[in-house]
Amino acid sequence: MKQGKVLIVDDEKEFAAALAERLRIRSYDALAVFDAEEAIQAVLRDAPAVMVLDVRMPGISGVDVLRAVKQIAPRTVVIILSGHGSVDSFRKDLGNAFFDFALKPVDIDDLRQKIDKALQAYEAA
Amino acid sequence: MAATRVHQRLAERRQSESVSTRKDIKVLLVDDEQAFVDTLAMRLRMRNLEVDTVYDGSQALAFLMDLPVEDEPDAMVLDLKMPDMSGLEVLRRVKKYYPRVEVIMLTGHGSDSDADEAQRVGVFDFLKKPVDIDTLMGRIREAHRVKLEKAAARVSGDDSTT
Amino acid sequence: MEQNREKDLRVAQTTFVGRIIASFTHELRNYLAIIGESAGLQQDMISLGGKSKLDASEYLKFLKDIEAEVRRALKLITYLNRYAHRMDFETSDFSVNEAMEELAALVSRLAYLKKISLEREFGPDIPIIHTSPALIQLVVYCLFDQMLKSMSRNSTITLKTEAVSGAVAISLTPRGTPAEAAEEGMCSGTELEQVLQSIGGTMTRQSDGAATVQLPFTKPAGG
Repeated sequence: MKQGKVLIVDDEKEFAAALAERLRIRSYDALAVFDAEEAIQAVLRDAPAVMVLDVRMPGISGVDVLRAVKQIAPRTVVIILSGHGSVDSFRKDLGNAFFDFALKPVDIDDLRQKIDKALQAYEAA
Repeated sequence: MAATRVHQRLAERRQSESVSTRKDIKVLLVDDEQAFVDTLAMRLRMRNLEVDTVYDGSQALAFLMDLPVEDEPDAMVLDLKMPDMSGLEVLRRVKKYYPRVEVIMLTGHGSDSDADEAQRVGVFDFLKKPVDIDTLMGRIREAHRVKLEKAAARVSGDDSTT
Repeated sequence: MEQNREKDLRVAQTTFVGRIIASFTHELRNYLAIIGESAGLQQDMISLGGKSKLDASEYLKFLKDIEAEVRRALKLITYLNRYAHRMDFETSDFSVNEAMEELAALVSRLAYLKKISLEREFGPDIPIIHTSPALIQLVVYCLFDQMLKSMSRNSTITLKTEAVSGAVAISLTPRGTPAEAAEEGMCSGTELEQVLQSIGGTMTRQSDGAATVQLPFTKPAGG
């Protein structure tokens, strides 16, 4: 099992659950949650190394989760997901609050590489 | 929803406090003209507002990102014409990522297209620079009142679903 | 053809004047806003100050700051006034350095908004020349505008004047990264080279994107 918990936060339940499963098959310690409240509970409980967070979630809770994580668990490294945009556009929007960005629909290998880099960054900090 | 719980706590806290002990209204001033905005900040603080200032749009967004949700400002007073990120670009992002913050835009010129665009995006009001301090205070208080109304509406709306 | 050229030139000239006025009024409004707030703050200190009333020396400092802003505003107004008077006569004796300093002061805000810095390198001992200063300012502004629109943030544009054999050379040199999508300049329809030719000047463009306007020394009127 690879070191460091990976928390998937996305309201698309099938997607999140399937992603967590595919990561677990590849030996990641992955867990999926489906809304902001569950995400914050999970962060308080497990202090994950990496969070993969959908910022398009209903209302504005995606960014609220991001802010809450910065306060509660600042070491957690965040990868944001969205159906549009790019690292550059989200840097303009959210500054350095996130580590990396992946476009949905997600390429599992691309995401895996990003998670690996994020885990490294978590260990290095 | 954790975000809703936070709104709930905020709304409850405000409702339970009597007017005289009401928490100060908090505003964020965003303007690249430092001498102007620093002086304005002092004047607003003398009128019992809690005021923070930043000098460009990126700093404003970073400021909002770094605060806990409960501490976010009630209103933002934002200059339209700034180098780097323009007032409209900041407004769009604030409405997208921090929609509970009401935005009052200050402008040196009355370009109608800018005003229309800002209305469309969701600006609370559009004021001309130099701004009369009493007018600005009035708009800030009104924006705060509207924000509390919206928060209360959210709280009572969610009761029926949770 | 000649008529079209005349028309293009006139359009460019009025657009230029409009831009200068718009930028100037915006900048002046900012100065007045600062002065207004400072004056308002003084009033607040006196009427609302309570425990935080300042002593005399602190008030004096505030009032001196107001004076400083008034001086800045007046300086800008002086530039605009001189610029306006350049259009009083079609040709006149003028100092190239003065005309360029004026132009630089009036367009500095435009560069600031794009986060491009404008540097000056004015040569010494440049003789007074006799030609149309308004036209020279227009041509240099057109080149400047083109560069502003084709360079990205954090670039530099250097405005340089020097005396070269028998002529004054005014050059604009951009340094930095080109913009991803260059916008069209204000004077794209105007043929600057021909405009200059009509007053005996020439324009050359260098490979590094710089542009140089050369004006021969002409005897000042009555000289």
